[in-house]
Amino acid sequence: MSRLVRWQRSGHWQHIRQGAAGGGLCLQVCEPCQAVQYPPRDNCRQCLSDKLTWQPVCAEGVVMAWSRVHASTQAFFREHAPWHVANIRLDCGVVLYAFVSERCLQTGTRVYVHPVIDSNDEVVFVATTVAGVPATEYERITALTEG
Amino acid sequence: MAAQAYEGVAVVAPVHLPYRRRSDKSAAYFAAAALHSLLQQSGLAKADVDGLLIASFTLAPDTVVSLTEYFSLTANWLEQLPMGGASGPVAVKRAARAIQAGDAEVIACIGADTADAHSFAQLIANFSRFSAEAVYPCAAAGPNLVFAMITQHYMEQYGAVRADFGRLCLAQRTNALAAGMSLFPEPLTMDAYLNARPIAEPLHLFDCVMPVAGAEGFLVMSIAHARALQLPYAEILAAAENHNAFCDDPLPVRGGWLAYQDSLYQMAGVGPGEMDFLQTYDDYPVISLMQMENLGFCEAGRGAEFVKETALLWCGDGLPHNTSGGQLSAGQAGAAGGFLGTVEALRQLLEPDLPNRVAGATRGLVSGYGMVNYDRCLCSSAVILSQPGQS
Repeated sequence: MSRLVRWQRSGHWQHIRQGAAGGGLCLQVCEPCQAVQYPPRDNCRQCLSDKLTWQPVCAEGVVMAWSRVHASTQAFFREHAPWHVANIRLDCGVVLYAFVSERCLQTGTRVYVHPVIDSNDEVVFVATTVAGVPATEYERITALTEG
Repeated sequence: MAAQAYEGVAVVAPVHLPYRRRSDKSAAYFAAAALHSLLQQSGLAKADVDGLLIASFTLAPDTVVSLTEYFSLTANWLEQLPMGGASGPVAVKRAARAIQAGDAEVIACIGADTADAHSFAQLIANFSRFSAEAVYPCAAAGPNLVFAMITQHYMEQYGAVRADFGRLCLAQRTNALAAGMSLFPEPLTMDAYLNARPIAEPLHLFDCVMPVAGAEGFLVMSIAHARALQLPYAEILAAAENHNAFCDDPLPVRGGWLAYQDSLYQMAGVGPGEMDFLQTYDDYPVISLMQMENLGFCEAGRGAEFVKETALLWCGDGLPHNTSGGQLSAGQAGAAGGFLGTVEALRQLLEPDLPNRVAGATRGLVSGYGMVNYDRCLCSSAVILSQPGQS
């Protein structure tokens, strides 16, 4: 079985990882204008302030689009395809990509985004239709990402 | 204030280097091969070229600056475009302004990339910071994932079905075979298109471009200079670019072309109905449909109906579209893919013996789209090219 090759991430992801360890979704919020930021960055996307603080944010959102992914440049992902991935717009205004359960493969589905930590100690997002990560979803991501 | 016209500028000597599926040569090698062909075709000496513009994904850590030494070329003007699929029309635009301003006399514009076993995987793993950190971890699917989302959203929004995209792909394969540029030896059938293996649904194999190595190029100089050299040339009726347009759209169903559609045709003095061909950037079929919509060939959301009702073949009586087969049939030579439509448009206007020559073509539109930074491409571009005296 192929190993998952680690990806490159900036130090910002350590904050998301810490949030995940506490069971919630932490993202950067701009102190002056309160805009939530994602992907992580050094300046506010709206007012360009560098006063961004990591805060728990509402992890609810809606599936804007989705895909069953069969092809990948990584052998690990190819061996366990297909992967269900969605483009999710969080109510707090940012867009993120997450692995989703089969039942989320419908545009307009309300979802909760769960940051989970895989065995590489990396954060991946899993979205489900319910609060709290069902065991099967967690296993699908974390067990498969065992290095 | 309206942009100034591109009067007095000639685009000459279009060069297409046959693509290769794989190569162990460097991007510089392909750029050098393109420059060599440009000099051969124009009869110019290397020392006559005083401007160089490069678009390439695989040139790093070298740059256009490194290439001056590699080519042993002394230049007064250099430009490197990080705009991928938008780079061809932008190259025309930037080089034309430099010629008008007198900053250079002869500018070689080249898109060149290599493709070895690892270059594509490396490229998509590090395409941009946002993409590397926040898209790549979701199954390492590269741009296929993002464009699967865009395609799925477009299909739901406008009722397009896979067969609509298939029509465009079938026509392009026919065009590629006529042009001698197809990666595939046979025509594409609708059955083969619809039954192809899934890549990132709704995208299947023939919705995706195959990475290849290759180069495209052309020269930009003054019309007076082209005439003195007795080189056939094309004129620039209009050109435009836009970056990060409509960034508040949740998912893109339009691009920057819409932002300048009116001013583009106003500058050109002709409209979409007067184009003899259209070369769109076809990284995925849905993006070609958006360009048809946003550049006024049909209404917004009617792209699927348009390709159903309109012949897209080089030899048809509809709208000859991607007359050399586009990237979907010829392959994507990295940033050179952003030059493919521009070079094909120039060849249509300047090479009467082209096997896929659109009968009577005197002017046409080329559009570009590039750089999927996170959840969409950010750069759009367009240029209207014509034979002399057709404005």
